Amino acid sequence: MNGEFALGPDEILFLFDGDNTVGIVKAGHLKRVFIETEDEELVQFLGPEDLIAASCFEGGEKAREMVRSMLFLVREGGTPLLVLRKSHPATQRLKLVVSAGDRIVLSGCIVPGTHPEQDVLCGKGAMDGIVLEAGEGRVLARGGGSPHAEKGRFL
Amino acid sequence: MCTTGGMPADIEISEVKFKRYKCKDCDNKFKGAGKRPVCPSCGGEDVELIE
Repeated sequence: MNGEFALGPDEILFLFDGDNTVGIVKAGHLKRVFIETEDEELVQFLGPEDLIAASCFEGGEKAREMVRSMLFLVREGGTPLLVLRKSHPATQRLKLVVSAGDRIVLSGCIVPGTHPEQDVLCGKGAMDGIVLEAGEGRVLARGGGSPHAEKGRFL
Repeated sequence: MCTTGGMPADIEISEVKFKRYKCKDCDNKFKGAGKRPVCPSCGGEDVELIE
């Protein structure tokens, strides 16, 4: 896809096909995200135009609500993100992943240890290969397939 | 980065290059990434890179 979408702080942009859903909001007032690992706390600092994206490995209205809820918890609730080691049983249960920054690459084939640039987010189907970039009051999406795009109210 | 787990082929968080900072106002030390590091404890912007 090759699109540019106006995106206000109270709006959410959904990209989706029948089986996968990605939601994108502006970081807005959220200045930092806490990332909690087994051993330590990491902090990712954000600017108001940066993006927070959640990817769900399901499609449909329920998936969109899951994505919206996750982004609400992170941005409005300040919920820290918990990182489990890949061998943890719960890792197989989770259906959502989250990424934040001024550039996010959606990839359906993330190989452990090969993305130290920390801007990748699991994104399958029509989302695989899409690069999201933050602009002032907008988000740019290029590459990948041709998912449906729909904007809605976030708050 | 993928930050809530999810898929078996997930990013290795230990590979991400977070830097160590120290807040000059409250001496809090933290590891962070991003363009605008701010002390997560006191909110101070006067932080120094220590590693």
